[in-house]
Amino acid sequence: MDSNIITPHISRRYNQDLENIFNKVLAMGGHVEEQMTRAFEALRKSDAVMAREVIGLDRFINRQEANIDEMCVRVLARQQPAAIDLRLIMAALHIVTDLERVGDEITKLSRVVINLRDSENVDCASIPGYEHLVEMTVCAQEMLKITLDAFANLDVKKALTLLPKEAAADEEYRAAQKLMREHMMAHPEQIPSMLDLLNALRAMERVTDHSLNIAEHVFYVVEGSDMRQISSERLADIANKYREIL
Amino acid sequence: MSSVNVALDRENRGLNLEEEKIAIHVRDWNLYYGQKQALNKINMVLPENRVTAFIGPSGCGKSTLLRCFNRMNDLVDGVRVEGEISLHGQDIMEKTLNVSVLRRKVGMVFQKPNPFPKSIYENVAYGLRLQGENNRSVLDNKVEWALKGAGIWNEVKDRLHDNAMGLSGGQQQRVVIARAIAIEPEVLLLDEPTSALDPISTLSIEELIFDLKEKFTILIVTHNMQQAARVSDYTAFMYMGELIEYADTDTLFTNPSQKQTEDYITGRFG
Repeated sequence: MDSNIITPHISRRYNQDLENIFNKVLAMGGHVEEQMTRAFEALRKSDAVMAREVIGLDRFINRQEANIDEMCVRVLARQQPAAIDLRLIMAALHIVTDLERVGDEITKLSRVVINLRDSENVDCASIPGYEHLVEMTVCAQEMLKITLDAFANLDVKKALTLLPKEAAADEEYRAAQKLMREHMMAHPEQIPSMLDLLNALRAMERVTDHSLNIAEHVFYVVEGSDMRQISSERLADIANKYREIL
Repeated sequence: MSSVNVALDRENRGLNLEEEKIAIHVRDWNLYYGQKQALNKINMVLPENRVTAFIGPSGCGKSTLLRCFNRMNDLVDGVRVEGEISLHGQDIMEKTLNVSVLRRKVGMVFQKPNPFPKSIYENVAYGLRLQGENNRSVLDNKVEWALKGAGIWNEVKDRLHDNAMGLSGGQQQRVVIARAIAIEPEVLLLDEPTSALDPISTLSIEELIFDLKEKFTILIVTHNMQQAARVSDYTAFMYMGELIEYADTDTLFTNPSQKQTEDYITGRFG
């Protein structure tokens, strides 16, 4: 762990346990990012083979989640962590759940690519709304990267940058949804493939939500309070502390 | 001190010291053993009908401070104190104050169970007899009440006249607690009350502490941090004679504000 707020304990074993958990969460985050990159490539190339590979990775991600859960339970039972250690374990437990769900959303995106290519033999790029999906995927990918960086460095300033980004992603999602609905009404023959695309769009929007959740957990580890329960004024104060970024 | 935003769903969630009725005020309290200063400018208020735990490494002054509340330190040679401690507005250091009256209001239980080599009944009736109570039925009632309060009535009701020394450590400690509460003190001081007991007896004493706070203000010194986290409403962390941090227990154990507190409760103290 390279963060200066997590310093060594008297018990070396406890140190090792916490470090292992921290590093395993980071590694899991890395794998989810990798999964995301490949899913995006599969989408852009409309490559069903690659999309299948991405789906195959999901089991590996799920296994990592179970593994980290087990490590956290062991530390909770044996060390009775308090303060920052307790917050770190709680955050790890939540973050791996979010990462596992991000994996599920990426799987959904990949399924859409396969579906369009295999059953309908449609190139994703030819479907109206495709560029919105690409944009949303880029945004999801970027937010996932930022939030994992924020966790790696326990960087609250970085975590807080996700707030406006997530709000923008929501906006983008709503706009795209509206546009696609209009298009569906005008071209009912394209409804099946557009529904697929809409599902993928929704999945990527969920990734941005999970990324914000992870940022909230980073905030909890460092600040000791729940970002969701803090009033916007107090949040602005805290943001000020980390130099105005909101 | 702000209230807790996120607390476990316990009955004491959202405690706020400012909203409490205060039993004891401590103001600029210094204590010296000869030349050595053992307590340094302690300022704190201790809420009524709550459990307040004192934690900190050995020699931090937590037991010394606890012993100030019933003037046990008077018995130690070379002790000098400055400042003020008041119990419900009454200055406990006042020269005219009768110390035995104070100790009747502020009972104490020590680390090692110390029953008298008498029957269980006489142990509990001891303080009452000292107060001049000799009426048998009053004594019977009070002994029963105290033993029930200490959660040991069912275990000893059929052998009240057996010697208390024949009980197990955990039972002895509960008899000692019964003896302390029989005279209905306002404050109960517990100095490491479970450190000589096995885990199961420890849990039953902790459960008892939880029940007793309805009637008494409880101050507990403990080396066992998990115990402080389990039983107390407020926790004070002391280090080298100073009160470093004092907050509601949920906050102190999840998000302490002082680095020293955090280092201590997470096992980083070197």
